Amino acid sequence: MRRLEPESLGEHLDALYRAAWALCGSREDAEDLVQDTFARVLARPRLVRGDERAYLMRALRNTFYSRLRTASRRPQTAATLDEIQAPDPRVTQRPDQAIEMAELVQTISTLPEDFRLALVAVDVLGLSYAEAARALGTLEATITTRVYRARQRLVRALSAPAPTGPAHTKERDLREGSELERRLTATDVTR
Amino acid sequence: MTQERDPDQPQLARLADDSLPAAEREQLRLRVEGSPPLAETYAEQQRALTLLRAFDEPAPAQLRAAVLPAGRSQAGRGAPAARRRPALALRLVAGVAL
Repeated sequence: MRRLEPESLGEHLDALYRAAWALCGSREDAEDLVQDTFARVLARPRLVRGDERAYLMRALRNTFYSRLRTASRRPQTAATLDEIQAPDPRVTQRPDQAIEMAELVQTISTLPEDFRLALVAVDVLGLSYAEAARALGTLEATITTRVYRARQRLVRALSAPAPTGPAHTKERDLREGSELERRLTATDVTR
Repeated sequence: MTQERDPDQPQLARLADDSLPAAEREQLRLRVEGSPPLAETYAEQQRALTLLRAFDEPAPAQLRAAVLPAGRSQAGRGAPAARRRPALALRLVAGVAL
């Protein structure tokens, strides 16, 4: 058992941000989620048993749930034109990579919650299966199965042909230019 | 079509990311080599990992500046000034003041 030093949190920030992005499906929600998580963690001295990143994953998950609960209690309102934000300028620097990344994250964010959390813990945060099991309060074998299923669904969803019809034109356009598709095809040894 | 109820299938996740103990790894690798359905499922796990490992986006500078005291001075320069929410430090100070 040791004290969590605020200075050490910087080492985990990039990974936590990616984890939050994959959980939320949007960069802005991810930034808010990470800010809230850090605010909670830094609100008082913390004693950590085991891996710091696993502790932060637990904090991120708890904050994610409490934000969901808060959001579900908030009255739903339609956004006005002024509230709609322009596309993130960061994505214009490498358009192909940005589309690929956005598509990947979007697909992860649609996975069932248990699968998504396991995938984020192991494949995005880089926790061991045992650490992920402790962080998520379940068995290592359960995490293994969830990671396996999550990866399988992810690949199948990204490999699926784009839906046709006018309502899906944008998604189809994104896919057609995507490096992701080329990479999937190139590594598909079974076809 | 792959065998959905093969108890070894979830272990393919760990074979793909190399987290299985050596003895189990070799045993499972032999099974995969001898079974086209398992090989197909294993290839899916590898493809997913390739994609996930390419996901290496760093945290935005303004987030780093907002949550990390040490990063504030560095990342603050050139970072977008407007955030939709007050910086974490500001909120913490406000909380103490109240």
